Amino acid sequence: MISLTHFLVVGALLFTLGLVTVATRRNAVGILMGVELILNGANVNFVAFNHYVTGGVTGQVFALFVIVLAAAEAAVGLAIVLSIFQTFKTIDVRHADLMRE
Amino acid sequence: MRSNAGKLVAWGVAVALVAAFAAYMTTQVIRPAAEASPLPTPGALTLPDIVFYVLAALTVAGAAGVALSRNILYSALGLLTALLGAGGLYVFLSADFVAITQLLIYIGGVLVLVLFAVMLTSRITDVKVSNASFGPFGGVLLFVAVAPVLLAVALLTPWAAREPGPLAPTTAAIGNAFLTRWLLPFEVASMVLLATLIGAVVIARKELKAD
Amino acid sequence: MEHANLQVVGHAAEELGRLAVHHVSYLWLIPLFPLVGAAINALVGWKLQRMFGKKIVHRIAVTAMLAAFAVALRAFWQILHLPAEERFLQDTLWNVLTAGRVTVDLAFALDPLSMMMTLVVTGIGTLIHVFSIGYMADEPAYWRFFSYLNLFIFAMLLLVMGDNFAVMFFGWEGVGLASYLLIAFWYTDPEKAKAGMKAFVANRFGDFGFIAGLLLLFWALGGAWTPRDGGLLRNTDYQPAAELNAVAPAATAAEADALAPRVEGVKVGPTLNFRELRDQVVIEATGVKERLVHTHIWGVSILALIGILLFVGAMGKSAQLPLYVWLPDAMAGPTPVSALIHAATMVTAGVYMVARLNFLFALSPSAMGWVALIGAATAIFAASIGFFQYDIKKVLAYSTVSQLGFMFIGVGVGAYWAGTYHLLTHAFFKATLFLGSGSVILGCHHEQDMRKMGGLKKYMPITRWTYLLACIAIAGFPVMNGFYSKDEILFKAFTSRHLELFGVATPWLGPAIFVIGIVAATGTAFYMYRSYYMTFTGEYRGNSGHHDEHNVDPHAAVAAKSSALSHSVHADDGAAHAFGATSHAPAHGALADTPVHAAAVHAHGAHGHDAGHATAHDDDAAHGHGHHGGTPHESPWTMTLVLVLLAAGSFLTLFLGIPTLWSHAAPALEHWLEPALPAVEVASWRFHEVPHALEWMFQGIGVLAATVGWVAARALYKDGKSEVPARLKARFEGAWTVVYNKYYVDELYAFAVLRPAVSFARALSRFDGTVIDGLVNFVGAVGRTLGRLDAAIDKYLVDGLVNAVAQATWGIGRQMRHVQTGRIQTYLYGALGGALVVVLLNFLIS
Repeated sequence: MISLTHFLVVGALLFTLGLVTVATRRNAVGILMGVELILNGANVNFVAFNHYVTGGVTGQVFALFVIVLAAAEAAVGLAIVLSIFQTFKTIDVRHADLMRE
Repeated sequence: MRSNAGKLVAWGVAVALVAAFAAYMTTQVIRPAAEASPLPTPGALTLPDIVFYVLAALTVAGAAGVALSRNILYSALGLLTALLGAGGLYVFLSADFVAITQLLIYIGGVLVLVLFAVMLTSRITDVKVSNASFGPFGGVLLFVAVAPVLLAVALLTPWAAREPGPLAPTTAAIGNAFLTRWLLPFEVASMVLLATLIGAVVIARKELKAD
Repeated sequence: MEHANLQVVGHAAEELGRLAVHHVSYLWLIPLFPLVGAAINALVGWKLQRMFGKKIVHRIAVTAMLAAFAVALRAFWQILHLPAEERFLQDTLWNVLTAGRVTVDLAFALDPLSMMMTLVVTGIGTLIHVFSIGYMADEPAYWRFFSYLNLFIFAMLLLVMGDNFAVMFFGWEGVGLASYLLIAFWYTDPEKAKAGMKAFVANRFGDFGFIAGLLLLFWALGGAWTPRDGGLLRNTDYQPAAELNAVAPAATAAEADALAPRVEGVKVGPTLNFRELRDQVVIEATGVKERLVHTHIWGVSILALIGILLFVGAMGKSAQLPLYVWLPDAMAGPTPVSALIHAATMVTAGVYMVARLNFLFALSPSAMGWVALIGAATAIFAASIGFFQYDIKKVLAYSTVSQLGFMFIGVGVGAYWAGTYHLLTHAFFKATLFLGSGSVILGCHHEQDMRKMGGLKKYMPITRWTYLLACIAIAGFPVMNGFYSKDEILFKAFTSRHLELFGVATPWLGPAIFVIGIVAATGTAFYMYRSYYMTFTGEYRGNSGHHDEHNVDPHAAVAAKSSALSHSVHADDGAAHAFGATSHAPAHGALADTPVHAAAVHAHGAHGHDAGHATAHDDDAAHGHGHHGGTPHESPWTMTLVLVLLAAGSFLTLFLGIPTLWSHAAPALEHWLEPALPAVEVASWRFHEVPHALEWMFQGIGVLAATVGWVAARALYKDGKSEVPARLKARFEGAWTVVYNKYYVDELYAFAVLRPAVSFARALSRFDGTVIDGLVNFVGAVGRTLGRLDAAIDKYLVDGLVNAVAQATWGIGRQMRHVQTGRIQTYLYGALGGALVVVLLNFLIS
């Protein structure tokens, strides 16, 4: 029998791996992918709690909002990435440090 | 010199912190909790169980691919796998609409967008360089620090779970919810999307014009 | 023995009742007409004068006066046909204010006394308006003059006809204002403006007394009317104190009237209304009289205090010692003004007021004694000054002061009707004299110095005859009215034994005043005939050596002298000086009507009057008399007609005062005024009885005094031939100088009042300059020092702190910026590390 804990474990792993991605990637696009993973982890939790604990559709609605925001984030983030690339001719985040000092 | 020394100290502190944290979690939280409420004994594997485990494995494997792959392109493919898996999991959770949305938006939209970005910003031949990570050590450290906490919370917390209802379509209920209780956030979300649209165009075009 | 002078005894036995009131609705028209005339001329007079000429202006003014006079006659007609006890017309317009039980209405009333005054004011006022047409013909501000005149009449009518103290006081101040405006009519001349101010200020002193007396009277009538002090009030049921507490204040006049406490149906308590005051004092049953008589304040009888304070007001208005000084200066105004205000009407306001309140004064022999004494002193004092004046208007001015003294003797000794009668006769003959002098002044081209006149009888016969008749009247020959009033006054003075001073009975005061009065009357006859002979007999002395003499003119000397002492003091001399200095050089005739003339007049350092004439010449060629000619001339018919009418009045009014001794009936005026003058009935005193033979003797003495004065003046001044005056003057140089300079009273005032006032002001100024300014500067310096200290604190402490904070921030920031690597992962590690710590802590704590 699949229980809530199974999904939570999957969500936690997704979150942790996304976090690791964000933390270790130098590529801006890679960082964005990590963010997507984190959001997915959260989404899995939302939907799982919705299904196993609260019932109704509130959790799913939240998941949908998260998806919407993720899409928006992806659009803006990728536009920024393009902008960075045009400015620095690279998307290595270590080089995008004009604001430093 | 100084920056190297600073970095060394920072890493040292981080490692010590994480080690202390791991030790503490292991000795004080996880083991007593496990002893207090042992994991339910797994029953016989049914077909849905198998499908779940497959999907879960697919998801985690995809995510691991995203995190570990050195090639950005493989990362994108890993992301695809992870998202697909997650979408499949949603079906198990009686969230058919969310699953379809996941498919449409994440895989059909976000992922394509990401792939476009990858294609636009880096030469394919150069992918290795562009996806260079900070190094495995930091990632592992982070994984070691975060994963146990989350897993412990997930596994050991006595969730007030109830017996889930039968799987049923939720599209109608979600539609109702969006247009009644969540109307304002829904509209705000549409505004956010509009702003995002315009913002993305402006950000991307601006630099093109500057060129 | 017959008691010819005690006609009233019979009445005294009767209980006096309330005044019966006849309400009429036209009395307000009497003051209204002059007010409207004044308003028209004041507002649009200048325009009318420019559009239609001066005629329209005086027509408006004279029409207003005639209308007022006509309404006054109508009222007289009505009042004449009422029974003697009911002769009281009242006309209430509206309620002005209601406070508690006191109401003040805008109301007019005519009783026989105010009726007489109203007729005098409107009648003689009208004549003087007519006279002014000729006299002021050359005045550019013609409209202003007539506007002021009408305003004055309006105010005087308010004063006379007011039904209560409030209206009367309004008129009282109004005549003061009009007087100020008219005295300073030629305000471009500083001396005349100063004379106006002097009159105003002197009147203020008097008004202070008037108001104080009024308030004291109000106070005396108010308060708790309990019969505690040995039953001062007979009517014990009257408890106004409790009533006041129990009843809410009245909102309307009717309510107030209903609230007012009554005893025997008579309103008692504080009131401003003359009739209510009279009723409650006169009617014995109210007990108000006893209470007033027995009320003392600081050991002084309150009635005496009230009487004396009110008399101080009368002193100011009626120019008595010591406040008379403004009246001679008031001669700076145009001559008709002098006639109207300072002889016939305004100055009699004080006498009128005392007569009006006769029932109060009669209750206090002390107040009466003071009134009579001051009157007698003024009479003799002013008469003596009049002896040696050369300015014809000054002579008349002092004569007026002196005659006012006689009036106060009359009202002071209790012969109210006699004082009032003298007021009436004086109004006629003094108006005649003043207007005669005006005619002379105009005829002599605005010359006022009698030494420059002489022989005018052949140039201006009508003026001469009317002037002579008026002299006969004032001197006291039985063929004119002055004898009858003056004789009655002096006789009553002799027979009064009830006067007191400081509450001490002084039966000798009456006879003493009689003696003083006879001496003053002799003096009056002397200086009046002196003025007549100097002016009208002998040879004309004008037109020669005018300007050479001018510099040695005693006027100039005195003016210079007093100007060194004080500015205001020489206002009167300066005014005369101004008139004397008007440039009537022989060249005038030749140069008349040319611009050079105007220039010449200005070149003489001329004043408003001269300038006025010059411009009048230029823009008003229609004036009928070329009075810039070299010889004197008779005045236009409007002026002589007025003189004749007034002289006729001076004769006819004698029939109002034919003594009982001759006719065995009360004099007509006494009979007429009796309802308004209940004084004798109220008072406990009576005039002393004397045999008829003594009465005849007194009349003989009066005629003798007049004759002596006349003969002396004739001998000394007729035709200007006698050398005696000059020798006498040389012989008694010192005394002459003292008298000529009016006993240096003005200088005394300058020394005693003005100089201390100025010194005080200077001291205050010094105090202000040193102490106050020093304090202010000290405070300023302290403030500045504190400011500097504050600035230092601000600069070194506060700024230092701020800078230190800023530098610390900057320094920390400089160190901290190393943390800002710009690597997003670094931040992530930081955030995660923090989260880890929080989680760890959370577990540790739980």
